Amino acid sequence: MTTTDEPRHRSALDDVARWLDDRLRLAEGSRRYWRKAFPAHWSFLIGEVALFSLVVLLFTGTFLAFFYVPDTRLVVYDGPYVPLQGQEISAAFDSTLRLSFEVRGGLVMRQIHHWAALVFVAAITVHMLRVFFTGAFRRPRELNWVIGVLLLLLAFGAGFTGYSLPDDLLSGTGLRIGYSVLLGIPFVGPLIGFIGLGGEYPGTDVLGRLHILHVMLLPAGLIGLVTAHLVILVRQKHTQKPSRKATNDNVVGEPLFPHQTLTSLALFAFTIAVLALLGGLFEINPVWLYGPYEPFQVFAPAQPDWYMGWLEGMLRLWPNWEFTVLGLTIPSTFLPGVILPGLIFTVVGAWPWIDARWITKDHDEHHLLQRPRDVPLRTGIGVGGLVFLLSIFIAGGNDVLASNTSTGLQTITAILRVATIAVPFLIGWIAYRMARGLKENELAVTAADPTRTEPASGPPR
Amino acid sequence: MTAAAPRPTPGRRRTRRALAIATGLVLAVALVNVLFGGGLATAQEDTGEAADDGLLQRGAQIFGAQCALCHGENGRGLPVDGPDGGPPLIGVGPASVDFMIRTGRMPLDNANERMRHREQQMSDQDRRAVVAYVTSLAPGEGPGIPDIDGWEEADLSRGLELFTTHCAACHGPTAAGIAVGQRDISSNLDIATPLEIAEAIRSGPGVMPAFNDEILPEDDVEAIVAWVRDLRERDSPGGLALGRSGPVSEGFIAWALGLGLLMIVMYLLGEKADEDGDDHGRA
Ligand code: HEC
Ligand code: HEC
Ligand code: HEM
Ligand code: HEM
Repeated sequence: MTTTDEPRHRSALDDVARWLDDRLRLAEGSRRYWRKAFPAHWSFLIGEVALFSLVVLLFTGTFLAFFYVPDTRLVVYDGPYVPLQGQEISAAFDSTLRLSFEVRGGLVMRQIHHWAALVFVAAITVHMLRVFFTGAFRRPRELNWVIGVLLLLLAFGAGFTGYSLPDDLLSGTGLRIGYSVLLGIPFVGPLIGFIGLGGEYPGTDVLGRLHILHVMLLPAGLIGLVTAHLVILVRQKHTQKPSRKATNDNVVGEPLFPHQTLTSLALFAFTIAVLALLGGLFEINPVWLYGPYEPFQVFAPAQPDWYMGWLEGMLRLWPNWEFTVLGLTIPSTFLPGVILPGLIFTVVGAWPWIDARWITKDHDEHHLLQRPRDVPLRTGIGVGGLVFLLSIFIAGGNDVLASNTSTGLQTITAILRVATIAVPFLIGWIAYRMARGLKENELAVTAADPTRTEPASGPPR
Repeated sequence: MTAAAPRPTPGRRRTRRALAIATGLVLAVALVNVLFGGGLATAQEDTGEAADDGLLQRGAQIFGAQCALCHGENGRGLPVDGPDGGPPLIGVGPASVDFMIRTGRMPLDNANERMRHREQQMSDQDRRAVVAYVTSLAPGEGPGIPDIDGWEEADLSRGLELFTTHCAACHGPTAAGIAVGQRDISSNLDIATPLEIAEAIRSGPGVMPAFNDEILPEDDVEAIVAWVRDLRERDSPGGLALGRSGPVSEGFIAWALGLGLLMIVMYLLGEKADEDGDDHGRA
């Protein structure tokens, strides 16, 4: 570290900083922020990876938007990809092929964009799990949790709309599944469908609508909510892991500048590097192999991107039940495609209140994190829920599973149905017992030897 | 001078010898013709018929030993009962029999198990024999072994289109193979040879429908073969294509490699920072 009496080397950057500071008095107000402490534990960096992937998505997405044409009108393909030459394909698919084969760097941008989308949602998920299992959502951070759940929904939306844009066989199929779920919503479904497609299925405007959503509304929503998320974070400061130094009344960690800034910059660089590595080395969504979407093509099981897998799995597991309520036929996609996901998101969104009311019965402010063992019931429910999502996620690939294990599709589906109901309870219960065991053990040890540090959660304040 | 006995002049003698040689040659050719020429022709016919008979006999023999257990006497079929039994083969056509043996699906070990692609279980000669035998049970019926000599020049674009319309629903858009119904799994077409692809199209193994030449004329079959081969052989411009099972393998890579690597980075960055944490009062 440089000390103040060392002769300072004045760079151009210093001059600029000085000039700005003379006029805007930045240093005064920002000194406090520069010294703002960041907790050092690595799990606090996952949120940043999500943030940086989003930045990569915005940049690569903007590049793609220069070339993509959201138009279903048919054109004759005359590009360099031989197997499609002379075929009539939509202008959208044509522009995606042009991006892939003719635009310099286009393919690698498409691939980075798609890999970044997958890693983005994965990072958010792990971030959310970190927050959940450490109780970081407790008062006063309920608001940030709710904003987080909204961010997750927007990310799903962005992924789904983006996946549908290239207008290839797979994306068209995903779109059709989404559309049929939408139509199944009583009363409003057909109306929304009509507006979305600009007419009867398959519609002419659908790509235009999706495009606006994907490149304008959803990114704007994401940017806005992430900003709110981070502003709230700065106001409330981080939670931290309890330790000898860290208590509920202080923040222990790295000062924002230079330590945390360097860490974050390094992480940003690594995030870009990993995404570029994936985009440059691994093929993703080779739409030219899938061929163009044909609206009335029966194209059986198509997998969506992973983060949609659990929705797809729910549709596949749900029995083909239709019933009539008040003269209205409720199609079999309505419950698994709309009601259940809605229910899941509601419970997740309301979790901070559910947790305080029924699980910890604790409405106080907390700035210290818990370990999963400190609240066995929450941990058990969380693990059970995770296993549930995992098994319906697996069901989303039941055909791939069946073909890889050489087992019949119906057998696999039957096994998964039972597993989806039974296994989450079982594993959740095991997790609960384990957490309790660990906690009791620890209490016993502390009681026997008072010099040991007290259990991490400490007495509730 | 009158008595000049005709003494052969050297010239005449030469002529006579030439004649003799010529006659001899003619005779020889005639003899060869008679003995061997016609004989060759006859021999050809004979061995042809004999071989056909031999082939059929051999075919019948192999069929009796390896297939009749399930497909019954003369391919009349037997109800599936325990590990034995199978459908009648009368009139299934050469394409089906040839395909089933070529891809090692037949002879099946157990009638209750799924057919699967494996090494051919007999010699090429034996296969031809069994095909000939089963064909002779109902000559001229069922699809013949398709001729796909022109597939290398076929129209890829048409092939892609046809594959999408007729095959992708069951085999997946990249022909990686997926599950179809209960006990059936469509094949990964990477392992199929051009002839096997064409035979499968014509004969429809298992639950796969058979496509006759009204639905798919010869040109179309060749185009599909060309596209399926192209799918396997075309370089992937986007980099490594792992398994081509689409979003499933992509999701796996995103988690394992993408987030996995970043987790390691986070862990290292975080750990390092942990060592010199400072205490700051909560404002
Ligand atoms: C263990 C019993 C078994 C043996 C042995 C067996 N098959 Fe089969 N074969 C079956 C069954 C069962 C099927 C129907 C399979 C299916 O459709 O899933 C079948 C189907 C076939 C078919 C397709 C019929 C159609 O309708 O297209 C052919 C051709 C065939 N077998 C030929 C043979 C030949 C040739 C042999 C001997 C080399 C043989 N099989 C040996 C049980 C057997
Ligand atoms: C109804 C679904 C279905 C359709 C449509 C279909 N297939 Fe198949 N195909 C199957 C199944 C199932 C198998 C595996 C049969 C078995 O072994 O039981 C198969 C097997 C094959 C094989 C054999 C590969 C091997 O393992 O040796 C080839 C080649 C093939 N199909 C090509 C095609 C082509 C080309 C088309 C389009 C013209 C097509 N299939 C359409 C379901 C289908
Ligand atoms: C400013 C922000 C963004 C812009 C301008 C943008 C733009 C685009 C465009 C133009 C395409 C079509 C490209 C093509 O396939 O030819 C696309 C595809 C896609 N986008 Fe975005 N996008 C943005 C943000 C996002 C976000 C936040 C996500 C994910 C959560 C996302 C996920 C996807 C996906 C999965 C595809 C399909 C990629 C493919 O074709 O393989 N995008 N995006
Ligand atoms: C676009 C997606 C998201 C981004 C970019 C993002 C970013 C961040 C960052 C950088 C932090 C501070 C560092 C950290 O604690 O990891 C944070 C904290 C937090 N995030 Fe997110 N987040 C996102 C989504 C979510 C989601 C889906 C949830 C939960 C449902 C969530 C809940 C929280 C909470 C409660 C905190 C405060 C945690 C604490 O102080 O310990 N976030 N977020």
